[in-house]
Amino acid sequence: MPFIHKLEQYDRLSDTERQLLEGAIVRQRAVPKGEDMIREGDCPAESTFLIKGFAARYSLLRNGKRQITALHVPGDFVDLHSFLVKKTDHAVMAITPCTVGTIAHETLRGISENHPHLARLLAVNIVVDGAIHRQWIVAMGRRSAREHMAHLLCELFVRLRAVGLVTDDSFDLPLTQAELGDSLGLSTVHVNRVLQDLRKEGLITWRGEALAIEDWPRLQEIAEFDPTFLSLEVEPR
Amino acid sequence: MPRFYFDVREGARLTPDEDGLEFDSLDAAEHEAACTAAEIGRDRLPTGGSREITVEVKNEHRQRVLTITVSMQVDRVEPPPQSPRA
Repeated sequence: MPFIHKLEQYDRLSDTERQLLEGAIVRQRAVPKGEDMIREGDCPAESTFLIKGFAARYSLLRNGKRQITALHVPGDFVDLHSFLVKKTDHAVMAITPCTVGTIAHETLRGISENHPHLARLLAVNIVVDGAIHRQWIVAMGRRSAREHMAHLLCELFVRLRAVGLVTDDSFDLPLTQAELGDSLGLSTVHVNRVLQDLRKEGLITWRGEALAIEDWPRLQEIAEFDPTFLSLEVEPR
Repeated sequence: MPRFYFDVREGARLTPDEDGLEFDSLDAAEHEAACTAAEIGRDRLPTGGSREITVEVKNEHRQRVLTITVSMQVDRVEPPPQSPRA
């Protein structure tokens, strides 16, 4: 299960803990591309994690504009926080065809009462989600379009590498330019132009659907990217 | 859907759009171009390198169909005004 693999990027799991998590998954289901896996205003009795595919948290404005507030990749919980906040304040949609799994809130309650180390590791997920949001705010408010795009590509590269989805410095980036624009708060034309610029400078290339990072140090420098906020260190927590 | 190309001019520097993007109408392409001009302006105009950004929209035959220009003008008062006497 990719979410168990992801927890193992933060700290070692005991065999008992791993078995407990594997037994906690109640069901798996497919979510078609473009469909909501979580709807705004829902009060789910379970938390959902991604096994396959990309998902986006988003909010819609009255004028029809959409802001994507987070991107989720395999191994991520998309609404672990719904265990605590009950009513969801935003929706989560499948960017690609997705496979998701769920864990009942009741089970999560049991884990939090009887397995404090696991509960802390699950909490790291929520803490890291918050850290990613902070980076997005900084980028949205203060970075240029080019720096912002570079930062997002660096973030996705490191997150996908952590769950084994980077091969030869390249990864599937199944977002349309409109979806990238909704993530960055930029127009599609601007996104297109920034990507063309990064490509012309030899920083990235497209290999079919996959994006290849050709000059990681330079891309990181443009983005002022420091992966510390992703907390990808195996250490006692 | 028709394809449009968005060439961007910043001062003397022209960045041609090699890929283009599809939009359902010229109105949609114009709106996108206007947002793009405003966004590039936000990034570039205050730094003073160039004070004018132009987005030229071309159709699928690479014929220009519209131009959008954003500019910033900064006028300092010269000589600077004297401080009023206390």
